[in-house]
Amino acid sequence: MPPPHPEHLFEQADALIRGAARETDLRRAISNAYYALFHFVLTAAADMVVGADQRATARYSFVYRSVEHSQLRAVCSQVRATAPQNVALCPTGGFGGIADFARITLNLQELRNQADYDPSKEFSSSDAEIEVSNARQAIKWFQEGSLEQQQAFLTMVLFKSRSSQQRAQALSTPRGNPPAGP
Amino acid sequence: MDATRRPLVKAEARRYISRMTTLPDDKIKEIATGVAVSNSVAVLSVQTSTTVDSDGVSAVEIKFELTPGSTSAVVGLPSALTTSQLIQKLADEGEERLPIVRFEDRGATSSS
Repeated sequence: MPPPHPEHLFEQADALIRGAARETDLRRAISNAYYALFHFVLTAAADMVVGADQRATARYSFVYRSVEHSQLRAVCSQVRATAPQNVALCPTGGFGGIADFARITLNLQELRNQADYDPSKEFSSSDAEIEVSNARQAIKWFQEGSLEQQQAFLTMVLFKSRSSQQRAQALSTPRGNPPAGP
Repeated sequence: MDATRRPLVKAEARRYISRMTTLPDDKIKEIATGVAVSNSVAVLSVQTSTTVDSDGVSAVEIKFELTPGSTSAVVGLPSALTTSQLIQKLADEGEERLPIVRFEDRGATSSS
């Protein structure tokens, strides 16, 4: 079975907005817009590592399922400034449109969390319409990026740099017990 | 749970937030308005509020109140550019809180 196609998720979101009878429909539309971006990244990452012609294999599914929301968020946050600092991989000339993709994804991930879990937030049809259109534009920006920019971004989403792993390990290790090395 | 996603405990979060560089609301509104104008987004006002992001860390929500009925003119490139450029410029200015950008059109229908 092929991975979820982002445009199908967008079309589902469009239908939810058009026929919205309840705010829940608009919340689901915003959630769909984020998941379209998320599945777009998973597909691009697995295509890069395993190959688009291997989508029916267990190896492809393994890579596809290995991407975490938290790691995607961390990478998107790292590249949000014009001159990102402490980025593991920086393509020649920067990230270009991939950085725009990252900023929209970062924003939409937060809005998706609000839409799914925060009853104090209200969503209107214009909210949902704008966020779905932002997500569609983000994918265009990603696709316009160079292969080097796309691959740098996807590699950082798939693999954590050793220093970030060590930071995470240090945070999770009780005080007095240094992280195991090397 | 992945340690990088581990929710910050209260004391840890307080220490982190107290170290964060934040811009004054007026500066954020000035940047936001400038970005919206440069992308031909018809904005009545910009509102900011302090919130927390999905990791429980301090964030800033920035809401563009659109001219009523202008959603269709904003959808697509103008709203996407405004969102991306605002996040970029705030990061460039040193704002460490995550901005959460939203648009509100009071002329649009709101479902119950």
